[in-house]
Amino acid sequence: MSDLTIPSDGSEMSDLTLRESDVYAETPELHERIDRIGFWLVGGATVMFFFSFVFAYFYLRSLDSNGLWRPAGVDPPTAYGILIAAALALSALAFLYAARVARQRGRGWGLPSGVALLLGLFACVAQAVEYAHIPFGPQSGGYASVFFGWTVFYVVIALISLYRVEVAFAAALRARGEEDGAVPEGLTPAAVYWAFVAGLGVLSWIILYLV
Amino acid sequence: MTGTVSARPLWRRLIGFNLLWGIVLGIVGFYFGWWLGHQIHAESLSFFESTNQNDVALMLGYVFALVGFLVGLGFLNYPLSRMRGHRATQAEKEEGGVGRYFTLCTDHKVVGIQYLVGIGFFFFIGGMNAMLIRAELLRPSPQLFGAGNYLTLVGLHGTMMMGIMTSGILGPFANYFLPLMIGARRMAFPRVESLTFWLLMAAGAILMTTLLFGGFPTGWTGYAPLNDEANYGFDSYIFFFALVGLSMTLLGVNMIVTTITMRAPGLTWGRLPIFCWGAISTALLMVLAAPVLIAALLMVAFDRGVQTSFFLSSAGGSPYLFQNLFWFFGHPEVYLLALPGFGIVLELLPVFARKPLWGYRIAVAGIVGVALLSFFVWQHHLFVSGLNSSLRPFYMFSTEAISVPTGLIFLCGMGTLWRAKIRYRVPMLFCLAWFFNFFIGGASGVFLSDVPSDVATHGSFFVMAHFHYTIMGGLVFAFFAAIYYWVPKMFGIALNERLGKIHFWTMFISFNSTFAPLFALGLMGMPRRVVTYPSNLQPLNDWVSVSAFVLGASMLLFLANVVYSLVIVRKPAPANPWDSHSLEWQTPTPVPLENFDRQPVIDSDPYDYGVPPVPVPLPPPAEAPAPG
Amino acid sequence: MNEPNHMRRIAIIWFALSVILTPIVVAVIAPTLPPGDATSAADNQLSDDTLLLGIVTPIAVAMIVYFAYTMIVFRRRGEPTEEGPATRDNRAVHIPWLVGTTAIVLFLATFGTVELADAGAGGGEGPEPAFKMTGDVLPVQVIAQQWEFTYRYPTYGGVETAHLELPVDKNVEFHVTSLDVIHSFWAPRLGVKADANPGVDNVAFVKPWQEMSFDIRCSELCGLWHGYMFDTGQVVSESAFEEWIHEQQRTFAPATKFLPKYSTQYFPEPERRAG
Ligand code: HEM
Ligand SMILES: [Cu+2]
Ligand SMILES: [Cu+2]
Repeated sequence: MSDLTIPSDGSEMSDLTLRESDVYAETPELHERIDRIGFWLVGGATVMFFFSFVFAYFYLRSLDSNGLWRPAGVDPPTAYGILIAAALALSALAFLYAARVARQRGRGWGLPSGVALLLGLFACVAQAVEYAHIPFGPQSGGYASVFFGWTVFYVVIALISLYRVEVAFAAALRARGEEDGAVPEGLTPAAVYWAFVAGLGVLSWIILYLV
Repeated sequence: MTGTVSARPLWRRLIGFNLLWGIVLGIVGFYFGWWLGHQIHAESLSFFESTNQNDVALMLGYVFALVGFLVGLGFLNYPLSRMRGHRATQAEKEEGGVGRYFTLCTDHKVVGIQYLVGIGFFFFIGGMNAMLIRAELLRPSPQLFGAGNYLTLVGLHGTMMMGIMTSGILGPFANYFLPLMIGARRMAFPRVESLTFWLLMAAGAILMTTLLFGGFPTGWTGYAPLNDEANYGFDSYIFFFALVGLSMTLLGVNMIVTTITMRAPGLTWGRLPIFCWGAISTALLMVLAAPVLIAALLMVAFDRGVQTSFFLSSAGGSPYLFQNLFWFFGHPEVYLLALPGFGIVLELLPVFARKPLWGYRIAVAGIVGVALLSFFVWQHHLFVSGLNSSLRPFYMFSTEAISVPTGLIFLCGMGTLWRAKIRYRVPMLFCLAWFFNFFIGGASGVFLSDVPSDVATHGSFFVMAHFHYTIMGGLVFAFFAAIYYWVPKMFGIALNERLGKIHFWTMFISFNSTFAPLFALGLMGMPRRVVTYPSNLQPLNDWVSVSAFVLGASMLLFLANVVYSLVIVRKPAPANPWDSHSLEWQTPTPVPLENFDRQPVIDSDPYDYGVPPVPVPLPPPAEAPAPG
Repeated sequence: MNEPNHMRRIAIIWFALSVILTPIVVAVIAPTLPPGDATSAADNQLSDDTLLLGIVTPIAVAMIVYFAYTMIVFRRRGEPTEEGPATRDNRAVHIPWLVGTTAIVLFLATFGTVELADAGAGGGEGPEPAFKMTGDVLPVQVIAQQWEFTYRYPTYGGVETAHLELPVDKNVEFHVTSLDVIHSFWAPRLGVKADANPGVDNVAFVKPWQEMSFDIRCSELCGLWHGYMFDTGQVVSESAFEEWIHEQQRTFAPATKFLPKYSTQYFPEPERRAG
């Protein structure tokens, strides 16, 4: 390997040298690593976002200002809560499974990611339906505020996160004809991230419906 | 880099995904959202006649305006193609003339310059607001603007500065130079990088529209429940800060991932330029703090739009909730402004002192220490609020403790200057002034962190003086140091040295004469954000106002320098005008599209100045990490 | 090379300047500073300020001397560029520095806590104050609303007045609250500052030591006329206070009947937005 100095204006010998190891090639491993670390950080940001709602929940509850934290009758229907949490959990499992088969066999991730997508969308729709059947409104005190704020933005974030699930599913559809349809890059990190978001959904269910 | 100039006629080139269509679709989107909001509320569509405010309509207007803007710029193309099953690609719009600057471009150097110009523009607007505020304060009672407009000006100035300048150094300089400094060819997420810029611009434009909707009376802190009372104009504030928060979060993620994954072989953590340390510490704060701000603002939007009561104590909420969330973000925010300045100053000192950076490791410890500690001090903004009085000794201690890592930064600067061979070029002057200003800012901060002392000064002009010393004297001085230092690389043209020195001295002197008297005004009982003051304070206020106008004029000197050097004279800069050893100066100017034609391999840190050129006392990398 | 001993020179200049300047700052300038020492709280604040000034002055002198010295003595002009010595770090410097700054910080925090423990140094401490005044106190409620302050004396039948008068040499317990948005009750000479939060009882203590009149200003942005939310209060002798408050009770008797019962916080109907 030859050492060569970067052509600067020529006056100055620099000891930051370039060697002819000149591999600038971007490997799939690099892309996977970028995705993985990126998702960790976005996950951290997501946690901080929901942390604000968790904080609001416990803080307002402890203050019970003017006795209006949670007037009688402000109870969301439990059946919806269970339905949503279960759909999210199953969706996450399906997508994790999809990532696993893709890693192991290089194909066959289409069906499970399709299932994951459907379940995820179903959870969001169920949440919307719940709003129509809920016995209280956003103006019914502290708990109601936290409930609406939290769930609405949870749905928004879940929909954004489902993007990578959809991408995996669409890639599978397009790869159907081809013999060795390429596994989309970063499937595993995406699956871990979706599982993480779904986990947050289950956590919201625990706090909002059970605690 | 010099893209092929297309032969197509201009009108043909204007059609496509670019800023023009972003604006057009943004406006269309706004009216669509506005209309939709009125459908939901079944109210009149004409907003100039409507007296009954419809916040939902305005919020939807902003949401759809943003969507239209991003669609017009072409941000949806790639996600949609992937949702149709196409493969991942990397680059977009990297070739092709000036047009790149007005659209989604994935070249980090283009984004850096976009940021520089965009931020400069909004900084100018924020500065103009400051001039108007100072003009109003020439007399003890209102003379130019009414009380309401005055508050809007103060809020607009503060919000604009805080929101836009948070990316003031990371946006232009870290985007441009961090990849060059670590020997990378691109940022980890090039499209996201471009998105952060355009989000910021959309945010700035949205904040300006507050003027059409009556402004907002809350200052940059936007406390509840005043924000609930505020009229339409406050929705602009919400969207501005939420978009800034989003932009910051994404910027932070991008910076950190790039630094972790794309360093050149041999660039161990112990050799990372100190500016990159500053940038990624800032980035970490952005990732962890900005989402809290977004959440708090969305809660406000809910309180205003759909009648929740997060912050209404008479309906089960609490204003303290907002204060806690806001300052949980807000304190890291002020370090978001300070930390990049630390990085810039320590990065530039060695170049002009011709010595290695003294105490690299403790400098890193200082920067990281400040970043981490900044999450444990937020209640010092609430020392008289009645919140948690038993925790005050703790917050007093943690706040004062921040001066220990900050002191390390000073120590490194002092060590670097010791027996140095200092050359007074313009960037160096700004760096040295930084130490002076930041010392005053920091020392007054110790007064504010002391609870009894803070009881006297909280919410007064003393605080105003303190944070302008740290932000204007810290961040903005570092910002200018960076401009003078790096413009020769970014544009291939040097800024005029003599005009630069005149700019520096007017700015430095008028800055101090503007803000130092504010300490006295605060102690004498002048609260922030008031349009009236006792008439015995007029002489001092007039002095401050006049100095502020000189300070404003010094910015015009800078603009004159830019126009004179970059437009009129256009003297090409030498390839490495400062004799810097840092990697970014080893690339040709203009920097080629791919930055380096080969993978650089690093075998030292960038501070090997001085005689004798002792080898870096760092262990050589055990094995060159796998490339990339 | 015959280099002078730079460090010694810097130390001498620093020492000389500090010895002259620090006493001037502490003994001559500090006592003249606001908020003065007319009350217990103002005195707490001023003693912290004095101590801080006493510590900051020599540090500031050290910084200025060091930077000025290095910048003048080590400056270089012209080409070719000279290189400095390649020193990178020195434990013997940074360890003492770290220890020194940490010690100063610990000392300041301790001293601040001591002054704070004296009944909160005039700051609003919320409904459960951590640092209290013991013994006989006069409770005074400060009610802020857009855009004025009114004052209620619960021990005098809950009468609500438009002016604030306090007896001298008596412990006063302010209960600051608000009916709408956040305001802040600031009486600089009194050394009291406490935010007025809706639905919160923010308690602050002070003992005025001399008769005087003092300014009151709102110091938290509270909307349009925030800049006009000021007032003047009086500290008067005990007998003058008794006379004044009884007169207030007589004058406002017809109005007092209709006031809501005295409470540490009030919850008027919230003003909600139409949406
Ligand atoms: C050009 C020099 C500047 C001048 C003359 C100036 C002047 C002022 C003035 C007069 C106020 C209003 C004080 C009050 O009545 O409360 C103010 C507030 C403020 N300024 Fe500046 N400023 C300057 C630069 C900056 C910069 C560079 C930043 C930050 C990047 C900044 C951030 C703020 C903030 C956050 C506020 C508080 C606004 C609020 O109270 O909500 N300023 N400034
Ligand atoms: Cu007020
Ligand atoms: Cu006010």
